[in-house]
Amino acid sequence: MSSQRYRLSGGTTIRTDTPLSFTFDGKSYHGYKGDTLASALIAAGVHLIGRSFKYHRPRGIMSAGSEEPNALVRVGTGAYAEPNLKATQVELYDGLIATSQNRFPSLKYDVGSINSVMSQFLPAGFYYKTFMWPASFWMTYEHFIRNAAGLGKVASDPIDPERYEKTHRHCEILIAGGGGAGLMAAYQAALSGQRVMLVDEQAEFGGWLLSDDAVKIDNMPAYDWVREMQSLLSNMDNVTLLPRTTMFGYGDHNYITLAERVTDHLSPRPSHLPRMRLWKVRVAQVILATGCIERPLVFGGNDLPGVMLASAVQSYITQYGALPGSRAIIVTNNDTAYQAALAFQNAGGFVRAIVDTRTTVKGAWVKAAKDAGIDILSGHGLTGAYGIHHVGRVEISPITADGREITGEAVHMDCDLVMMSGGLTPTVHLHSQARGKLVWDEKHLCFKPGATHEAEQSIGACNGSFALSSGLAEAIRAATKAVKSTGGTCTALSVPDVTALRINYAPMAYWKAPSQAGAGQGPKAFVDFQNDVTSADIQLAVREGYQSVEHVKRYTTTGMATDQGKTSNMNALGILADALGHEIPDVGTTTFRMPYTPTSMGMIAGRDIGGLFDAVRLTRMDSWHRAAGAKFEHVGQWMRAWYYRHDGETMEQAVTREVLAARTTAGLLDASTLGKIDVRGKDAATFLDRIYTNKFSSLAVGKCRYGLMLKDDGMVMDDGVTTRLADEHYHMTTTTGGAAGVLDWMEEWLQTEWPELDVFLTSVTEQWSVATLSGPHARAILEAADISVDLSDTAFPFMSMKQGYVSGLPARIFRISFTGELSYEINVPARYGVALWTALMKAGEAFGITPYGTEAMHVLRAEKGFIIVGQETDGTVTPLDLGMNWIVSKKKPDFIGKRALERTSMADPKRKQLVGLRTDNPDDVIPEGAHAVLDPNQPPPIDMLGHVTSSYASPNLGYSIAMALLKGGHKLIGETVWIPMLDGQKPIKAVVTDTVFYDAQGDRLNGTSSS
Amino acid sequence: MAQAHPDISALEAQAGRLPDQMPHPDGGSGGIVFTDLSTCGKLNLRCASDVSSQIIRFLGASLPDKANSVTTSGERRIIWLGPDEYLVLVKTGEEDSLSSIISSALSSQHHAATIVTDALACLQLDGPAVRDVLAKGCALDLHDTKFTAGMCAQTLLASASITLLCEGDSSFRIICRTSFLDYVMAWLKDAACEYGYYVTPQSNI
Repeated sequence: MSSQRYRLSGGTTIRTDTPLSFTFDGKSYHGYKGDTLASALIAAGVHLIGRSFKYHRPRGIMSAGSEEPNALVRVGTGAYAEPNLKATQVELYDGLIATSQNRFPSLKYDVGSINSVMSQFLPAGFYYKTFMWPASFWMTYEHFIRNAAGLGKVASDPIDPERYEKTHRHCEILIAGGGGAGLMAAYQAALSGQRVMLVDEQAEFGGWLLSDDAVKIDNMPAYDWVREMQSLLSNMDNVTLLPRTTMFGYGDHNYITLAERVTDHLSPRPSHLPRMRLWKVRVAQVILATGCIERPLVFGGNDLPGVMLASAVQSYITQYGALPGSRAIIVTNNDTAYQAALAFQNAGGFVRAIVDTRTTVKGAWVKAAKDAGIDILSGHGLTGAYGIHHVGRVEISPITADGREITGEAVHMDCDLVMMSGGLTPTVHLHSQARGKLVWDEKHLCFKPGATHEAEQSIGACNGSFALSSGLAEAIRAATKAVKSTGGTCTALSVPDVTALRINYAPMAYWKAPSQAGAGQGPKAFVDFQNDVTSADIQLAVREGYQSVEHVKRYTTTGMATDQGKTSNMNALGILADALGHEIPDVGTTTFRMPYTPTSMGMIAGRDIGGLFDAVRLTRMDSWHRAAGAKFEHVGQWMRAWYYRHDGETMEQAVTREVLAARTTAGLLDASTLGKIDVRGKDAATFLDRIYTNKFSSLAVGKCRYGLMLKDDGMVMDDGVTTRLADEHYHMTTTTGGAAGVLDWMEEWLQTEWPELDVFLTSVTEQWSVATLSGPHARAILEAADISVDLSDTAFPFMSMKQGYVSGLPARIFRISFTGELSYEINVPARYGVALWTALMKAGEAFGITPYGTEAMHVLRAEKGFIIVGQETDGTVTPLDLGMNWIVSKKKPDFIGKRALERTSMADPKRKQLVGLRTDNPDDVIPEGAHAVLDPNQPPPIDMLGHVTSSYASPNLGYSIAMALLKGGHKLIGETVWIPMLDGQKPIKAVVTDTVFYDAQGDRLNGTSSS
Repeated sequence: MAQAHPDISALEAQAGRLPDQMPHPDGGSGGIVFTDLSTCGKLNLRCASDVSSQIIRFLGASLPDKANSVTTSGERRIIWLGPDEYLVLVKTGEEDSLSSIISSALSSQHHAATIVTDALACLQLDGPAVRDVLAKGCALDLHDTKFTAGMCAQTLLASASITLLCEGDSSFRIICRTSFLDYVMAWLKDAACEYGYYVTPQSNI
């Protein structure tokens, strides 16, 4: 058990009454509630956290926030493990298990660090160069590169056992960032009564104020003010406070996505809560108060553990009560680091010197440092940091006023901490995601928000207003403006009184330390720490001819790591501009994209997994099918019984049994899924005449007719049987998958083109449960089931409908057939579905009734050459192509698609036309989708005739049958075609036939003939 | 490490098979109660909105004249679905006679009264967690000052089309096609795990 040797008393978020234990690389440590993994490790004196991506260099903790590029760890074990988490963002909980990454066999002795020695062979654009030349070598490189590439390891278990959820919200005002400005804006906005959401990625609100012990707001220590604001806000019903929540995406029209870490910090985690929750929020007015990020300085060895951002050191001391070192060198180009230096000294550390690149230093903080007895080396730069696993020594050189040249002898100083400050970069990511423009701030050497595109405002440090007092004033202004534009009212609060030493936030332009070593020589000076990109890499890219920032970014990979260049982009731009001899605003900046920080895929999936992945639709007879051992297939969202497998049967045997039964005894199919539309009104007949290619106004009441629907381009869209129930009342059926589309289509015509027609459409698909009884014994079975209507051919002919009772159930019985057999579709109010089904099964038992599924249905209809829309058609097939000219009325004045069909090209004999195929070898079943050719020996490219749309072994015929859409197919009947196969198999030989394979005369429809 | 919750994780792989009762995680009473009212009578009414006065005495309430609103008379609900489309919820068994009466009353006008009792399911949701549960799958603004009693919407709950009726601050109805009921119920139970739920036996209104 290691002690917390570097733990200080105090710490604004540390709860010493709640000690926690955790392990890092197997070793146990202690920390407190309120710690992050990073602060607890610092308190324990642990600074070596991981190895870098490319060179496997030892890396420590650089920052205290979500910008951390170095301290990436894997948290959890087994299926719960998650890689690449920033130690600075991992909230400590009892029992946390963290391991370092990217090292083998151990963090201290890592084989991959040989890359660091070999680095002259891994220059900028290394991957690009190996891709490009010589091309054939890539295959060789790839094997080695793949093993070395990547950062961290994902959990080995492919199933994430955690629960993730999603939710929707709406609010008038959302504020991202709960620091001083964000809290102020939230409170001001909330006074209006409008719905306000305040989100912050940290565990506690307060932002930088948690780390600033030198500022007073309304005469209160800043942290007390934070608590007061928070307590005010949490007592307001119209306010939603979301800590541990990252606004990671800014979408169109203020569609905001938030990632809330709900239980990651709890141990044990309450299992009724999701680990993370994705909030999808529609916001009227967004206020961004996302703060700023301190820039590192670029000098040789700036990536060593112990080299940290000055502001981060201040946070560890003030917020977390953890001292990151004992002897510090501060290097800065601005005032802000002086406060950190004093915080370090006040916490018991020894400040060896403040190295300031500016020639003249002045101001309140400089004076305070001098008064505290700290040495200030102005006009100096830190030109190198040295150490093996930790910084131990630095080199300090006098520099010119522009910081570009070394002017004299370097001095060396020992230290165990370097606190660097390169100026502040406003966190403009979300403003930029929202397509807001950026403008260059010459004074503060940073980009800040310019014109906005969405209804959003930036306030405080993310707006380049670094001083707290101006941030609070902006907050009040922005919130009152936002309230007003959402139609609310509130009285502007007075700006709280801020007492603080004045800081000059303007840094000196000093993008990299001068060096006496030649280009690419000397210790590496890192720009992008996570992707191991150095200043030399950027300069090399420029020497190799790259000029655009977008190209340099991709060539060197700077800014392309998971941190999206939060700490590196500005330095990279500065160095690039220098190398090109341009000004930074002329070089431009790259685009920020969501997510702001890496976001779990599990959260994006939420509960749309497993059985909840998509809606499934069930018929009322579903439970019967399941009990009978049915296998199901998806048809649209419907689950349809595919085939009923008896013990010991293969699918093929089951389907064969079902197909034979339907032609020899009787089969029973659940046809409830067919779309059903009630068509009513005095113009119903006229309407149907326009919708279908054939005529429905001539249909007698009580009669059924098959109809084909075309799109206006003349292509087949849907088909089905429609029955005239009364003069002005029809019952239309559609395909299972086409039902919703057909209803929309017809409504559109009624509402937009034919408003003069009096027709109402009502979907009644689920109103009816439908059992289709098919086969020679169908009539006998219905009689056994106590049907109340006369089934004789004269009383109840083919293509007619009767109402009556079946086993006492009220029913509409349609004598129609999709199998070619004597067949009845019995519709009952849906609640009676199972009653009907079981009654028919019982009545049919003596006759050998057999339930059949969709696969048998497909075979049976294919034997008859009946098409399935969507299988034989694909939106490019006309009725003529299908050989169904008989269904296209020549007499009707118009119908949808008529004009398109009259185009001469529609009659082109070379169009693909539907034909049958009969294989030479009756056992060959052609794969569906296979292509047919006339000459398989033709040298490539072989002329394709078309493809096979349906193909089955036909148990009734004893040979294989198929349908195909072939060029000029109708003329090919009788010809031999070949179907080339993959994998060196011989082509299948087949003869082109008519599509009707079975009972061409249709005798079996009456159930009397045999064949 | 997350502790495996015996009630939830074991059922993760087979979502939709959650039990009919999930205690409130904090031991309190159920956060939401589901009641299946699917047996109630349902009539889809297509007619011009100006016939309201001709049928108000049969319906007991006027046709809602505002989009996405509901008129109420006792157990009856008349739900606005479109400028000329309404859904009428009535007591179980009342729909047949009501359909005939309306059809004769409107015989001279273009209309369609179609019984859809078996086509549509109807669920009642009651409890303090109801808006939070619905918000997990519905993108509309369900805040209690924005979606109030007497309002309805045709929307999506996760991937199912539903009609949503607000009956009160913590009371809603969901109407969906019966084919989606299994999915909707499975989804609702899953979403309600966080608050606890109880499914009551099917009941008539």
